[in-house]
Amino acid sequence: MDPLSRMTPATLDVLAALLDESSPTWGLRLVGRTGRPTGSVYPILERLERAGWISSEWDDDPARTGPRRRLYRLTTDGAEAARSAVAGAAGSRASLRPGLAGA
Amino acid sequence: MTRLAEFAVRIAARSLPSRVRARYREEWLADLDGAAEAGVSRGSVAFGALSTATTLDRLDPAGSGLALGRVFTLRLRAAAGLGLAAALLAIGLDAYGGTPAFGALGLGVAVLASALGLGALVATVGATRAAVAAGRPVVAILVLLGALALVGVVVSRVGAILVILGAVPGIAGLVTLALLLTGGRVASRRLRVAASIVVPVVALATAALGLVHVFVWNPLAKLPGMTLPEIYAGLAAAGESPVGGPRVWVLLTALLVTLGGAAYVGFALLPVRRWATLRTRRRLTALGLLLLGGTVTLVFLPGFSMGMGIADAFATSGGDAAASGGVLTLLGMLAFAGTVVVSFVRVEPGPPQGEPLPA
Repeated sequence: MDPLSRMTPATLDVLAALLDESSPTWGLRLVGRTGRPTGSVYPILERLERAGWISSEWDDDPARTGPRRRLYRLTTDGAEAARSAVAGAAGSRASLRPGLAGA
Repeated sequence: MTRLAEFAVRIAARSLPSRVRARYREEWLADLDGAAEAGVSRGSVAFGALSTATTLDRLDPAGSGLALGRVFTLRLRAAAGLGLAAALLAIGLDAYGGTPAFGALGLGVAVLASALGLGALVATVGATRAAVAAGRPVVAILVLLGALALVGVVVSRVGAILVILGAVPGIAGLVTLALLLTGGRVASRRLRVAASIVVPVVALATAALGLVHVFVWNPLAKLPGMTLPEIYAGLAAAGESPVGGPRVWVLLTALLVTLGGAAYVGFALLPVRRWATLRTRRRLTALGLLLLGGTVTLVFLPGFSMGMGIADAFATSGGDAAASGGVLTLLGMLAFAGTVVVSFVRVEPGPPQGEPLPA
């Protein structure tokens, strides 16, 4: 797994949404979960997969009709790194708040 | 919107490295199908696909599946092919008298040359980045210097002189390139048969039109009010008749184009086992375009002789007066530019048909 060259707020939102999923999830559903546009989410998923943070597979659910969809999930190392990144970002936001409140 | 979104998605997928092309095409088409269920517009899915195609790091072997050296080679070839083709078209347009000399067609070719030049610029930047990423900064500098030299040749208008003086070695060079660089997928028998019919017929038709332009249309356009017999009588009186007369040029051109066409058909169809892997689609295309470009160049010889003869006998300019001259020149330019593009530019093929898509 490779470190990400940049950890944007959109990337954090995608990682947080993936952490909330207990099973592989459809890429387009992450767009709705994060509220981010596909123009952000799609490239983020591609970068995360190339860096080894997530893996993807085809949805082979026989109960669902229509073209098969691509499902994404965090890898073991990716989940650990995602938790650190999301927690770190939440900590940064929390430390900023008292300063803003006092401004 | 539906069709446009699907078209955009297919274009985006087509632009991806071959390793991931089929996977993303299927994924994005499936997302288009389910967009309403996800509460997302189809246009948004298409935009996401285009964004991914644009931002994907093609230098990363994990994404492209290609070693950096291979990425560099492909991009350098694209830069060279597109750049040379753009230069050929620009030089040809300029040498003939600029875009207005060709009318509306000239504008189209100018736009094409600009698009090729832009493609060459993108490929040059890509090749430079690949060289830097591979730890070869000197190579990157050489690529940039080569590109600047080519731009300099075109802008300084030295190119026209080089093209005229170097026509014969230039065509020989193109033949060499067409033979050496055009590997890839072998052409099916059906394609070889079709090419063997189309290419010689087009070449012969071009030769016929060219000779009619040289010996009939252009003289009549340059000397309105005179008949052909009067024009040829005037040329004879001034001692400016074309060497050997039109009949000799017609026979010579017909013979040479027929020989060229026969060689092409022989290469494409003769059952020589050693040639089986040599008959690639790109090679047949490049050689066919070369035959067409060579035919136009061949017609230029009697054309030049007739033009100078008419100019000396009747005190006119030596250039073309009939529009067919511009059309033939454009055809030759496009044929040679096409040869360069087909020879140099190599698109990495996708997985063979029938292979399972990557997981």
